[in-house]
Amino acid sequence: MNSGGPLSCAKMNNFKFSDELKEKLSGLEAKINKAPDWLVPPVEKSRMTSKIEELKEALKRAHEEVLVVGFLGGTGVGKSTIMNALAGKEIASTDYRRPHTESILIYHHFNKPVPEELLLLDLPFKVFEHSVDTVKSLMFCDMPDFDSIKPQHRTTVLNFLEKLDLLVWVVSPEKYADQAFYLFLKEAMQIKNPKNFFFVMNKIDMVNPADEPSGRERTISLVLESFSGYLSEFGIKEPVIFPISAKDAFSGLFLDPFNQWKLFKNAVYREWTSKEIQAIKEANIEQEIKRIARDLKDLSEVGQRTVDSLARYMEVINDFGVVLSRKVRNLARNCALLIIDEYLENSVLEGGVLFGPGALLHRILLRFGSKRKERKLEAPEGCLEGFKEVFKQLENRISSVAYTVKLPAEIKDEFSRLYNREFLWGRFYNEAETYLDLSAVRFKWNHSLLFKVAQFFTYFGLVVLFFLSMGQAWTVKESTFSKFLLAVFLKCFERLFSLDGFGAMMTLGILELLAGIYFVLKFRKSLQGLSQKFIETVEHEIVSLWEKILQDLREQIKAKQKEALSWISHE
Amino acid sequence: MDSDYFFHRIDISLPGLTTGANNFSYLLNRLCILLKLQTLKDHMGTDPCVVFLGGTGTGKSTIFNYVCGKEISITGVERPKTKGVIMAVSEKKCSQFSDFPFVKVYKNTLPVQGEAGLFSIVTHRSNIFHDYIFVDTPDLDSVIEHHQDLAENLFYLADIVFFVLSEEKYADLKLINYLSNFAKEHDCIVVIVNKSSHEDSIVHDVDSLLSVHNIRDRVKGIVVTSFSEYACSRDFKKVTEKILELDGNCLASDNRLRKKIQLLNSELETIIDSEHRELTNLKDRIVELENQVFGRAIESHSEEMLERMRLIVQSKIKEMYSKYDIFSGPRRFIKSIISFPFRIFQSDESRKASKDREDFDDEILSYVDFSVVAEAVYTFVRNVFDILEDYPHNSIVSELKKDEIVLTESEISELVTKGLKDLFSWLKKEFDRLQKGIPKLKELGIYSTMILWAIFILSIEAAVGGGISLFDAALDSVLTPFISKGAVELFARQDVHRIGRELIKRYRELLRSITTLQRDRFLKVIKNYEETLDELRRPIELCKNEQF
Repeated sequence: MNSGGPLSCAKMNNFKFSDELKEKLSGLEAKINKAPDWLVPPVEKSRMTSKIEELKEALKRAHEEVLVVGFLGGTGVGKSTIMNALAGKEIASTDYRRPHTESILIYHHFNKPVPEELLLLDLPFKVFEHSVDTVKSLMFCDMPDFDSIKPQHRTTVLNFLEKLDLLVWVVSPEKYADQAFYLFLKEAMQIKNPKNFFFVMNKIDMVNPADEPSGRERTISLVLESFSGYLSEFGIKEPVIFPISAKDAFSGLFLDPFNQWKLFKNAVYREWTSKEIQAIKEANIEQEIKRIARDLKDLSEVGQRTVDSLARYMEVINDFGVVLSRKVRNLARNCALLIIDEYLENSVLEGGVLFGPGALLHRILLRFGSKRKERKLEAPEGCLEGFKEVFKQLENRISSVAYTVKLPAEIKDEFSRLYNREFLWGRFYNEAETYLDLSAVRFKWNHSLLFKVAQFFTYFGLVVLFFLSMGQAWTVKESTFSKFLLAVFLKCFERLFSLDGFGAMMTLGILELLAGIYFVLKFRKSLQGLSQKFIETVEHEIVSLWEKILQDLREQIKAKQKEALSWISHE
Repeated sequence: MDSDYFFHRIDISLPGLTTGANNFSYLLNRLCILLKLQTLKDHMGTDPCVVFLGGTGTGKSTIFNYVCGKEISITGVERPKTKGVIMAVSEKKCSQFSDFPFVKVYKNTLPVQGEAGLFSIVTHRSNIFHDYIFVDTPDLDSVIEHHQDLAENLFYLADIVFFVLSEEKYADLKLINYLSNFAKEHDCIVVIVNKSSHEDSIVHDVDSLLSVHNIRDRVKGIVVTSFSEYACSRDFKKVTEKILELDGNCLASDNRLRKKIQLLNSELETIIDSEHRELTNLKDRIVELENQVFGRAIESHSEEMLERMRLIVQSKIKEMYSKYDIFSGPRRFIKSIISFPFRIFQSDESRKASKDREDFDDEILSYVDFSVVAEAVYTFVRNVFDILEDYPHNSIVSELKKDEIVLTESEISELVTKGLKDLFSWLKKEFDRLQKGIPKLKELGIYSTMILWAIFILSIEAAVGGGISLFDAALDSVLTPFISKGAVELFARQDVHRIGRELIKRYRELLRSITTLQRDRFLKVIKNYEETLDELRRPIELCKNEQF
């Protein structure tokens, strides 16, 4: 860190520096604006960008030629006395009773009015004018204390702090080791460049006044060293310290050789060039820019942590997704079975795949098939409800990871939307439903025509055979076909109501039954093959729908990671 | 610094489930220090103890030196000056104190600055106060925080407190706050405003300050001094008069220090008790959660699984028994002929089930859907984390959320697979036992049952039908194979049931063991904290055992 106080600032090349700062500000602004909203909430973004705007304005006004000098210190150190001594007359009231100064006392040249925006601050002010031309560019401000029992004093100082350009920190031999002083100094260093700090050890006249000079000299330098040491601990490496006695200066007494009042006055109460003033203001702006940069860096670190946490989400999706795929497969299988059941219930009979005795048997089987009873006879659409559980489980699993990662709540909320079960479920449901409806329609057994014909011929053929054999068709000799039929029918009818007829009917019944059994078996066997394939297809499709959802999730997470990383590494 | 008797940094990790937990280390530190001071105080007996407390640069040590009658404590412009405790006692008392480990006696090398971690004991020369003990302390408001802690503790030694301010500092927030807090616990405080020559206005100001803070009646006096060349003896008189004024009233029969120690002790014990209560509460909730989760999730799943397993077991056992069934061959043949038309009633799956039984474990594994277990575990974990959100983020909550605690998917699958393998090997062992020998008695039983049944049927036929005809014989030959099956079934059934029941029980235990494992991981963390809490139950003992 550069040393030597405000006086060295003036030596820097102003234009280059000012441009540098402008660039830095633009850079920071750009970076803030590029940040993803979920990483840096818009509220935070606008806070930072409005701060940057303020600083840009301040940078423009750095050419303005008013240097605002503030006197800061604890109660009782003598700030107001210093003010009076500089002014040459009593403008600030002092008292041994504490705490005293309540308002900010501004002492300025009558030609350089106090800037509007300063007075607009809701703070207590007392304004005095002077006509000393040498210091027309200086505006002196005597501040209240920051360590007394009146907390409003401290707030006043804090609120006015950012308007100050040069800070004169005042301590006394009694109070220079007070913790409160250093804590406040630390706070001020966040927004003001230590290059712009003067340090004053007031009341030097009270140090061993009865001692002889060499003794006093030693004591005073011990005190100054001690003070310097503390300042160094708090980050001020080579402070500019003036030991003074404002009281003596004010009353015109200059007997004390150790009173460096003149030095102090010459350092502050003089004509400052506009270059000097600009340098000072810019140095302070730089300090604030550094703070914004630090804040941004912190946000980058959060971003990095977010990327790492997302990796954990990814792991879980991979591992647990596989586990759940099994369940998805089973549920899909269930859906397929339901579709098959529906087909067997309705289409088979409606479509006339089986008829006659076969149909009868088939109906009986449906009623007594135990396995089907267990699959609650619901519509195929109903089977999708079971998948809800799967999504709930996925959400559960990812949530338990979410609990263990340390991220800001806003970011966690953002991610919980990603794997929100309603959202994922909705997508899955629509696609799955469409697919199932389609495949339900497409599931049919296709050999119906030949099959139907075979059944027809068999059943009908048996009846004809029965008819003919009962009618002893080979014994009927008629000329025309219709007469032939009539004769056979009569013969048949005649023989029907005998023991033979009864036996023959029984035989017919048994034969039809056997034929029916045959056809049903044949149907079921080939249906089995079809079903098997169907089940496999449905399982495969639904599982791949599931995997697509997982893949989408993965991709969204990857996208977020990429977004965060590209913002972090963007310069 | 080597052994600093007054500078502990005890840092104990309590679970942190209650708001008091954060204070625990701080309070325990204080208790230990106060106990040490107690031993010192005991040695002081009935000697009045005056403690000087105040801000840096107010002139504490200067006043202390005047009261003691000689320059004991170093004063000066470099701040802070007094770096440790300086205790001035009368000459004859000096030796009494030399035995304490944290005491250093200065006979001749004066003045002293005080050393951190030690009591510097010197003799004072006061005649009026020959049996008094005066204590100079480090300041309350300098940059060196360690001084503040020390001074805060020394406060409890005092019978009389001299709180020193100065004209420059009497409105400093930090000092007034300290004064306010001290006044709440001590009723014998004298405020000295040093380096001032404006008595009336200062007294007035301080008076109203104290009233604003509601401690005016606790402060027994406001004295304004300057100890300047001209006012020295007058100020000395003011101070000594004040001391004498308070002499009788301020020596409380009941030691303030002892009271404070008791207070601290019970405060600490209360904290431990509440933490313990909350911890037990948390433990119970976790156990309850696991019960619920297991009940809901696992029950339904195991039904289905067990059905399948039962079928497998059943057919395997029957297979084994069938070697005693001499008529199994012909029976199967007859059965296949008769049941042909009825085959359509057989469901697909049971047909498949009659295929080869050798590799039943692979088959079962293909049915095992351990996603159910995983789901149960993660539902449990999520519910536990939900509960933890109720507590502030603290020690135990972060312990419970560590990576190692929650079971991963691969850990679960390993556990389930291993458990199943164990289950199968048990099952195989059972089958082997069965193979090796259905005990001779049972074998005899089967054969004898068959014979009895045969005799029974024959005798009935004979009795009813009047002899055994060819038809009867034919019928018998068809029925006999089924008799033997009946006999076998009778004996097999017992084993089937036994093994089946055992299988169900073991499978359920396997599934339960996984959620229980997760629960136990949580409980282990809790148990560690419980043990820590148990060790902390007697705070005073802890301090005495010098564990820190």
